[in-house]
Amino acid sequence: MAALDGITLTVARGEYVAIVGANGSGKSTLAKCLNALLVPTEGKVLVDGLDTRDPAAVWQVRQRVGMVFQNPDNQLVATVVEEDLAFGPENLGLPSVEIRQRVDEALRAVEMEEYRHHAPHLLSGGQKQRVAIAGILAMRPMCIVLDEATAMLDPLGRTEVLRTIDRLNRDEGVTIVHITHAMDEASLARRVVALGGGRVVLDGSPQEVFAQVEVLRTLGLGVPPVAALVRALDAAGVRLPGHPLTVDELGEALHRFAAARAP
Amino acid sequence: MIETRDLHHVYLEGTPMSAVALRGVSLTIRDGERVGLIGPTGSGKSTLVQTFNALIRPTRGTVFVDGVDIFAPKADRRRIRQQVALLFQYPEQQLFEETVARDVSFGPRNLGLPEEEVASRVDDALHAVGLDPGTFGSRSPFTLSGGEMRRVALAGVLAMAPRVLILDEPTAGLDPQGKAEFLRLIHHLHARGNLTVILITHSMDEVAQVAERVIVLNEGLVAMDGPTREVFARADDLERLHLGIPQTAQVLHRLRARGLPVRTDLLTLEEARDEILRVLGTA
Repeated sequence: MAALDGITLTVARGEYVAIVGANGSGKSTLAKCLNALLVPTEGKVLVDGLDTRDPAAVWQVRQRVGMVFQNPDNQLVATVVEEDLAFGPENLGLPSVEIRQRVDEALRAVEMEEYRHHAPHLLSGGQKQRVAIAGILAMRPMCIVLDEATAMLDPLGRTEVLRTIDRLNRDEGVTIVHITHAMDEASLARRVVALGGGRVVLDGSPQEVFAQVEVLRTLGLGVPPVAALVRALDAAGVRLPGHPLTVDELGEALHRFAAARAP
Repeated sequence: MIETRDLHHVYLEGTPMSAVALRGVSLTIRDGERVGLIGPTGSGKSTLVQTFNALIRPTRGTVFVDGVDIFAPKADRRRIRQQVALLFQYPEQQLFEETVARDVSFGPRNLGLPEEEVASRVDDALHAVGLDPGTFGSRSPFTLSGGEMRRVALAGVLAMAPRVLILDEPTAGLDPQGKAEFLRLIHHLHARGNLTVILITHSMDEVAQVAERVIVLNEGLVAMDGPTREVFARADDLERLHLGIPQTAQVLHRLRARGLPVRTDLLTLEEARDEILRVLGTA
């Protein structure tokens, strides 16, 4: 069975890309190809010029591209947060001063410094995912791939993780590939790629992609709730410029619309 | 009817690991209600619903189902578990039989029902979740898609002919279309008979779609309880609990904060559209 059917895609350094697609569209397969957890049966994946098919390059690839998975309980290995973060760098054989420094930086980057001595399994879901992200950061990756990493979190946990990845992308220049079923989360990325039947069907800014309502529907996807409301208003004659996607953007657009019509 | 009285629960009580989950929950859920149960992680939602069918025995207080104290020494807890069914998170992970029909028949067969009755319940349950028994009955559950597997798991629960259906994050991991279909299915099941539905979810939009009443738990206590509209109108209180409100309601609150006199107690997209049009027309 073909999970991916001829995907050609380039993610540049520093991008923040959301990948959306229905169950079975190939999202997770694609994610696993990005750090050599899977090797494509045809075609190739180059990470920073390294071919994931080359067994000698696998560890370099995984150091560059880290993955965060859906279930926070399945990816933490140690009984203390800072030991969990040290696990990766220790395996690289780094000197302990360097390890300490990386752990400190990673904890700071995900705003979990005060939890360094806590037991990971007693943290909330959002905190666990931030520890998982920090564990990857300690490897100094170029890119973090999140495979539905917010699906099991409560609203606060989701907000924490989304804020963390946005900040890592903006401030630290980390490339983010966020695979998600939540269209409102995808609209936070700078670029959205929609998969269907193992192929890239749409690729563009969130505004461009979420304007393709019919295409998204045939892919088994929806549009973010705000975009759906904008569309309903549009059909009723209220045409708002700029494709608002977030609650703030829509509030702003309607406020302007009302002000322009006021006598 | 499910009634809890001063329900307390402490995990591993008397050990250094003890954790308080419920601190005195008293509430009544009437037959046929559609209840959304929300609250932050660790607020006690899952613990609470597991007391409803005696999977967890509370450390204090008790639960009455149709007036019967289910923790009384002589209570028939097998029967309670048949009447009050719980669909756990990611229920498809619990499928185990060689065929879909055998998996769905596991529960009713354990009830000791005659084979004809088991077979007819399996057929009914598969029909109810939108899977044709002729097409799916003989297939291995493990060859199905994620959404289909989850519906098989739900069919297994429905085959017990429960009167109360508790769903713990039933759409987690499904894609948007799968989510929409599953929510429609819940509506359909509720409309079909006098089924009580209790939905645990982190998605306020799902609560708005399914529930007529919302119960908010926080730190093991009922923090809010009321009609869906009224609960979601208290945006500030929900915000304080880090829960938020459905996205359409967020837009209305935002507009109101900017001086547009819209109502904020609306939940569906159509209601929000009409309200915005009404206000723009008079602005």
